[in-house]
Amino acid sequence: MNATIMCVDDELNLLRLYEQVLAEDGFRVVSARSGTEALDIIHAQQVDLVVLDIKMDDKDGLDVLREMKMENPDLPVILHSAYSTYKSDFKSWLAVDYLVKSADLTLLRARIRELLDVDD
Amino acid sequence: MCAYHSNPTEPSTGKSRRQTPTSSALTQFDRIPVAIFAADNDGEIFYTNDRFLQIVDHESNAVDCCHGLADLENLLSTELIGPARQAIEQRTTFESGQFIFVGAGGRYYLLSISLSPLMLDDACYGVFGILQDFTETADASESLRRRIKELDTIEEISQALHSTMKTDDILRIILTGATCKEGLGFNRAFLFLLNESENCLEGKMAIGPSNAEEAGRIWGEIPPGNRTLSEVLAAYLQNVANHDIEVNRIVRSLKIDLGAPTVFRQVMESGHWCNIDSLCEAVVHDTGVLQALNTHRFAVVPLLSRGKSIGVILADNLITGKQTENNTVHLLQIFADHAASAIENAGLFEEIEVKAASLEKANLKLEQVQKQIAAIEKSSLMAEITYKIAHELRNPITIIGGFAALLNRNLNPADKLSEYGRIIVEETLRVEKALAEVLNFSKSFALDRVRCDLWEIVAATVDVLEQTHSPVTTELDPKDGKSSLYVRVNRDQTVQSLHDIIEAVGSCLPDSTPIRLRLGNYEAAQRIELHWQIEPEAHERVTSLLAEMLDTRATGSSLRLTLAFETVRYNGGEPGLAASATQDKYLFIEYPAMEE
Repeated sequence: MNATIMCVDDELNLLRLYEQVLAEDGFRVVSARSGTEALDIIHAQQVDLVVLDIKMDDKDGLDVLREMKMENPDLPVILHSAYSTYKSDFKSWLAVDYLVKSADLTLLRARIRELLDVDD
Repeated sequence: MCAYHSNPTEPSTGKSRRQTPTSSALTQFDRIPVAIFAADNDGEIFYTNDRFLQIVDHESNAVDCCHGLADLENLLSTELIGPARQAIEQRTTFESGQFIFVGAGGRYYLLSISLSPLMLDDACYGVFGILQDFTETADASESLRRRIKELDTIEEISQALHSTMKTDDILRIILTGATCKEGLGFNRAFLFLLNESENCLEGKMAIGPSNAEEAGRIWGEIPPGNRTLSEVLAAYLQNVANHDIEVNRIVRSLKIDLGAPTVFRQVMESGHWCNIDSLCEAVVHDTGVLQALNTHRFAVVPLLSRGKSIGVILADNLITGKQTENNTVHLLQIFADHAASAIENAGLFEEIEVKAASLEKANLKLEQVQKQIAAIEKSSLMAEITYKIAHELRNPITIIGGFAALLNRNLNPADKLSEYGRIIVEETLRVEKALAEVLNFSKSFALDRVRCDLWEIVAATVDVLEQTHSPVTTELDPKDGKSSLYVRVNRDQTVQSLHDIIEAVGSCLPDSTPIRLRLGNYEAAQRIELHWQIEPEAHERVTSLLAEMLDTRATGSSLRLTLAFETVRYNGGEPGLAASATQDKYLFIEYPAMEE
């Protein structure tokens, strides 16, 4: 069964990009447009990895990360933000990785495959 | 001619030596203070009064030999015989001009003679003469003229002293005024000023020749002519300033210990001048200084300013050897008093000049620093905005580039569209790279935040509002700050933003509505609250205006206020609207609290 990846971002088009790219890589993709929605999904279904934005309208991504980790400490979360500044915030250290958003998704895809132990 | 002094046993009383019809009438003039004499038609003097004898001197040989008008004419060296004859023959009067007569003991008299016929019952018995003495009047007049000239001199020197505020020029004027012919006329003058820390007088400057040769050279350089003292001072200053004369070199090497009992100490302590006119006196007072100056007849006057001696002037007549009169020293003292006041004023002026220059320098520096701060703050804020914009661009760039890459992957590489997709991907990555550079650049502009007391920030803001004559009035509640409210912010940015917010709020309120500023700790935040009291009907309008202001995205309100709120947020703060217990709305700005 394909691994399920949840992408959390308040940018709809970005979510659509993630869905398309990661689906092509063979993953099942679930999208959440807010932190609250993401936490609801976590409670409702099995998610193998989360790609999480930090600055969102309703809830700070770092707070969402903390709650996810409280729910499931083993859940791998990749913080994917337009800001590099949060790297120094200790709350971001709960994530397995911190990537700055880029049009080149090669690095993100490689990291996901690595974390989910999927061969190229 | 006959001897007119026929009775020498009564010399002090006017006498008629030969009885004439007029004799008894003349006795009434015996003791009047005007010199009277009378001669008969032959020129024989037959009457003189006491004053006449006093002037002509009855004890001298001159008197004994003076029996007639011819003798008197010789004695007084003025024409008498001719006018007397004319007076007798033509019954006319005669009045001589003023002439000088040297009387007993070489005393000078300024006299004139009046002659008139001596008439009785239409008969002429000779001439009646009056010897008028103008000596005292002339002396008084001369004394007055001298005094006026002295005062003129003092006034001119005083004017010259007040024409400059440079100490060196003042010192030169002082010494020039004391030495030049048109001034006090001393040959040399030396100026010593008090050095309080060392309790001594230090030689500062001198003017005058050290010998006759130098005197000839210096005095020769002053162009001759009838000039005012001011002109002389100007010429003298120009010439003397060009030469480092010997006395100047000497005086600068001299120090007078005020611990030793010398004439200088005496003058300094008493505040009275001293005129030393003998070698013995000089020797007593000599401290080596007088030897160095090669003088033993000199005058020393104190320079008194506000009752305190600030130095002395020593003046002498070494070259001419002329005796220094007390009057001249007294004049020198008057002059020294003006000089002392000028020195004191110059000192104060120089002090003020130094302070003004330093103040101007500080102001310039402050202005530069303020400009720098303003520039840095502006750059910093612009950088912060750029930083945010750059981040906002990241998402769309990622989307565009990501989809382009996706598209490209699904197209045949030989397809023209695939090439276009590749170009979009490449250009997107280039924009990303440029954004990364902008972000790195703008981050470097960020100012460090430091710990500040919110009370101090609010006080500084109120101060700025007052200084800029803002129409908004504020009240600090409570007036005196209690415990410190520490926050970590950029102080200047926070003052500026608070200032702009207060002014914006003030512009929403009815005219002259004061804004009460209340500070306090609210949970984990330090809070500034802006309260106001307005009519209930105005509440809704004001609240609506303020809400619009806060929601800058919705209304696009003024850039200034947008920047102010952005600055608050940039410094970790958050503005907001709240309602009080009485449901009155107020605006607050919260900053994360920082422990002491």
